[in-house]
Amino acid sequence: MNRYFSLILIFIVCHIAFENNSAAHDEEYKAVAPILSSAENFFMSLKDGEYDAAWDLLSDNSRKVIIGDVYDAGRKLNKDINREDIIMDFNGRGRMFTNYWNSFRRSFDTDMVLKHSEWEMGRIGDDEAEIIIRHKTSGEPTILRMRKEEESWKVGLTETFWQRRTLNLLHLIFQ
Amino acid sequence: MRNTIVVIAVLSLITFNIGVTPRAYSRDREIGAEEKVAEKIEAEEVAKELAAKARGTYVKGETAPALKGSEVALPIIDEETGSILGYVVAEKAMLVSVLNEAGLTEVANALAAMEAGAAAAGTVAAGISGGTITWIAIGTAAIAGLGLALGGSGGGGGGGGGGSTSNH
Repeated sequence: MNRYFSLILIFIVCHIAFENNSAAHDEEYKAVAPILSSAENFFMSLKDGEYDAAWDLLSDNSRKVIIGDVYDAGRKLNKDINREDIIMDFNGRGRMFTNYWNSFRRSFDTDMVLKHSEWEMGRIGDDEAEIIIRHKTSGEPTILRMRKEEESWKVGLTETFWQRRTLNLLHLIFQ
Repeated sequence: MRNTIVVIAVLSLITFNIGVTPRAYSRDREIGAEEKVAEKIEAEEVAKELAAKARGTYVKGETAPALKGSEVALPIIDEETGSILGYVVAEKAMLVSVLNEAGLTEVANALAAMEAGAAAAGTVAAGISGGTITWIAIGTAAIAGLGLALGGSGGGGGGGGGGSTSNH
């Protein structure tokens, strides 16, 4: 009788442990899936030419920086260009918007990220998260920064990569 | 490659900006073959004029011409068929200046957007293939070095990691 009772007890304990573990995995999946999904959808939208969707998946800061870049480039060619015109164009998915992303898409192979890299979830916070991307030929990983804005996870494209531009200058200074 | 991008990405702009757009005519009547040819000739004449002002050339035909240095090739497109009639080939700054003078600032703005897009793509590609961690390390080391050189204490920071993982 004691043996049976012990077996039943062991079974109950194992079952509870399994359920808790499954629940923990479910929780982890619920936390991780939206972050990875947003990042993946961004690159896939770019690949498919769905610039509207890609733009919507960018963080606010990334969008502002990109508009700033277009403005800086535009000033060199057209001194009368206004930042507001660019904002309007991008908001309305106009010609500058389309030309920017067409050019981006033609210059960047999205398969670098989608097919030839391994993704791993890094740090997850309330409003920020990191995805570790390791390209097959890269010795160092890329830490893709994600931001939570209005309950959705957005890709911090410029937060992740644009610092390279600043650091290139530092590297030049300290060479 | 960048020049190729310029060629391809400005496809629609010249169509609407330098008179390839058909002259105003009644939509109720069909446009005859002679008129279509006339419109094409007009567009090409305008293109040749622009090319001349920009000290460039007009290259007839669909094949994108080879470019040198900072030349760009802007396609002239038949709006009706979408086919390329030819290209205005000129040094970028000159061509943009001529287009701006002609009031075609949209083309210059579009070129600027394309340049910014290409530059952004290059930055992202470099980041993916080179990683972002190494550059951060160089940056903080450089800043620390500056602090030491100025006699102050250097400082630096490192990135954090860890957390749950899942493979893509």
